[in-house]
Amino acid sequence: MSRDTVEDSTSASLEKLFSNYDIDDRYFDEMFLPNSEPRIHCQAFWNDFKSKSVSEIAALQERVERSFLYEGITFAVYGEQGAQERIIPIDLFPRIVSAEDWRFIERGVKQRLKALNMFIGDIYGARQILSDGVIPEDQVLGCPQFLVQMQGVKSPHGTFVSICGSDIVRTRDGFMVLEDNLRVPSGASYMLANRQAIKSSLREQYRRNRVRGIDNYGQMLRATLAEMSPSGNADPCIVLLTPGVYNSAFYEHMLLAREMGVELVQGFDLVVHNAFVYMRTTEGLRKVDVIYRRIDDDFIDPLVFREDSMLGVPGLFYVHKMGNVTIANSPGTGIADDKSVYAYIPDMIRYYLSEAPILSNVETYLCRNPVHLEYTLDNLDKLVVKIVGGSGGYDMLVGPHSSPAERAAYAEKIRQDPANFIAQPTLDLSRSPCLSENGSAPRHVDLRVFLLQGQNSRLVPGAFCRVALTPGSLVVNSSQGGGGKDVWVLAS
Amino acid sequence: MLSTTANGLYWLSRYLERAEFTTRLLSVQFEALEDLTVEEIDESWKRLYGAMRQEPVGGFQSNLGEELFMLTDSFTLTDELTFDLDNSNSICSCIAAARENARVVRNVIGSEMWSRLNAIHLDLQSVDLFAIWKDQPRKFFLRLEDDFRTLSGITDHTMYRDHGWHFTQLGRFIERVQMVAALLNAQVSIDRNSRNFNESSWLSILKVCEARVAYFRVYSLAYEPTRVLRFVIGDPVLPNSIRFSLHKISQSLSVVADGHFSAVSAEAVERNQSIIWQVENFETRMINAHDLLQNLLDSAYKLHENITLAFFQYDLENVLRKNA
Repeated sequence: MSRDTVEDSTSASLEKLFSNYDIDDRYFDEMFLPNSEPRIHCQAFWNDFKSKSVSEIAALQERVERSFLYEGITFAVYGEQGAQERIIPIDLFPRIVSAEDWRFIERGVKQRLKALNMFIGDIYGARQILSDGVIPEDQVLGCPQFLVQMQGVKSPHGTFVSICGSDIVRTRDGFMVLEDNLRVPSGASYMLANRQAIKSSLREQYRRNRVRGIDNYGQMLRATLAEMSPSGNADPCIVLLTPGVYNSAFYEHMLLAREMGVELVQGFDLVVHNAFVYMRTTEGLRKVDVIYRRIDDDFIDPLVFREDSMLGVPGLFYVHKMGNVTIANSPGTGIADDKSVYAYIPDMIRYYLSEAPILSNVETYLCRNPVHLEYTLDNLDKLVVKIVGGSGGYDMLVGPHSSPAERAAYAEKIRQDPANFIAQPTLDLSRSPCLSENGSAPRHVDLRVFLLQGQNSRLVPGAFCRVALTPGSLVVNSSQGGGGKDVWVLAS
Repeated sequence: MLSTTANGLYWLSRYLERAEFTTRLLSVQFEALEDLTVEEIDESWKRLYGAMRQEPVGGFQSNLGEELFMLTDSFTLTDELTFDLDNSNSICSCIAAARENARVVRNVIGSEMWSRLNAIHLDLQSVDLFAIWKDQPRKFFLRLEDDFRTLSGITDHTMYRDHGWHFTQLGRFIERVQMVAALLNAQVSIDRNSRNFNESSWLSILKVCEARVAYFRVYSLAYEPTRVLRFVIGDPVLPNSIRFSLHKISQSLSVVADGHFSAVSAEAVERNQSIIWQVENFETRMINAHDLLQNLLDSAYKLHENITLAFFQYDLENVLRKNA
């Protein structure tokens, strides 16, 4: 989305914003009905923008991008020149979600997280679901994310996952959950930053649309973490544990610590002594009750997990296990967001809650199963294949966009270790208008919502919408050329 | 306050003070450069490097093989002090270091402070020496001075006055004491070697310390070395004077050291009181200026060590033993 291109093509800049917008029946369009009329909840927005010219909007877009650079909303890209700071491209047009759709999503994710927390407690407890044969035992206990050290560990309110980031997509068949991020979900800072940038650029539209506010996300998060305090103390000492300033998500760690008003700590700021954890302050040591950790399980405690971890705190895991500190999210929650365990979530919901799942899963083929493996290998050109424990969009195969040679190479990898792969049909992700060289153009989007769970559950009425800025691309990860959009959840 | 955060704030303000002071040194240097004789140019660069407590790369040897620095060397020297990232005291290095520290403490400083600092950093990325040389170099340094004043103003205006503020003050004023003392010391040595004094040098010092107008009001127009020294070292109400800075250090130290668990913090308080006494009595006691300035430099360095040990990197084993 280069500004130069917009300004160079003078003929395009005179055109109206939506004159080249292309609606394709294969994809659900978030803003328009198949007959090119705006959807009811988007009408007010449409009326404001339909007569604007491309150049007018391009100027606004540029201002938003500059504000990101100066605010330092960047992520690190590791390349041949070392780490470089880049901004995550933001698109000016918000994705607008109707109140009705939001209510549906809210019910769906709350139901899901309730079942997932029960599942984790069960697996590290009695393992009822395994003995009842709902999920094959080896699949859970053999999962690399399974931590035998967690056996018998209890968590306040049965909550192991306090912060859940679920990726929700929409096709013509409706909403589906693509994955639930239960370890260290990120993206909330982009939700907040996108909102700030867009709100200041589209002030009037924002007000007119009666958008629900998300400014109190920090308070919601703090209240949630406070509920997780082991001592039941009303004003517990909460800290956010970051791997440090060179981590690509450091901006987010900083922002969340600031919005919560808690200390931002690194491993070396903490010390374990007599079964409690303390932080080093200018006035001496201070006991810590809740740690919102933003480092991976492997790095939490070098005495228990990776010995070479410089990021964690020796002895921390045992303090957690003894219930003298709460680590949120708990170590070991990865067993529930493993891509092959994912396939069983609808069964979990039925098993633990005796309810029908509200949000559907994406159909998933587990390559560990010989029938599914054969199907996957025969249909590589139609499927998306992912590594079971992978994330970030790396090393996945998007069948329809791959060459025969790439498919052959990938098939070989699958055959070598089938259990490490799952396949899903290529989804026709919904599309939403984005600013491009020729005015507004449809791009594929998803939606990451943040559900918080302590004693109570809280869903922030907003989300980070990721958008595949490359025309036709389905990969929305920011490391792979994706961008972001503000999400406007309407009050009514 | 978390030790790491306090340490970050302390260094953030130290680096900013260093960058700001260096900018003023260069801006005053460029103002004077065109009117000076070869000897004076040489002397002024030596004073400037003396204030930075470093030597130019290659030592005090001119590009032309002469014994003196010439105007033509100014280009190289300016680059080294402004843009050279291999020189950890160059303005760009200091800004980059300040920004790295600001990132760590961004959750406790206001976004106004961060975005101003980040803007200074980004602006510096977009220029180089050739660009500013084509225009007038002095204009560049004057603009940068303004940027720093704005940033200090924002800091004073927005920061919450908790312990974090006091560590910010400690960083700022310890650095100021060091820079001012080193600058004066460099000039005192130069005068001693030449057995002579140059009025314009002492005027430059007043300008670097933003003390010229105030000096007029106290001493009228004569730039006399002893008066300038007396003013910049001992004036109680001049913001860039050593005495003023030591009192600011004293105020902030007394807040953060109040009831503190470590004996090192008490040592810092004592040390600062003792150097304040020397400064306040240096005329009546006929302490030699050079010795006093050297004491000040030593004391500032030890104060820094005390603060680091008492608040940022204290011995954990020791504290745990006491707790148990």
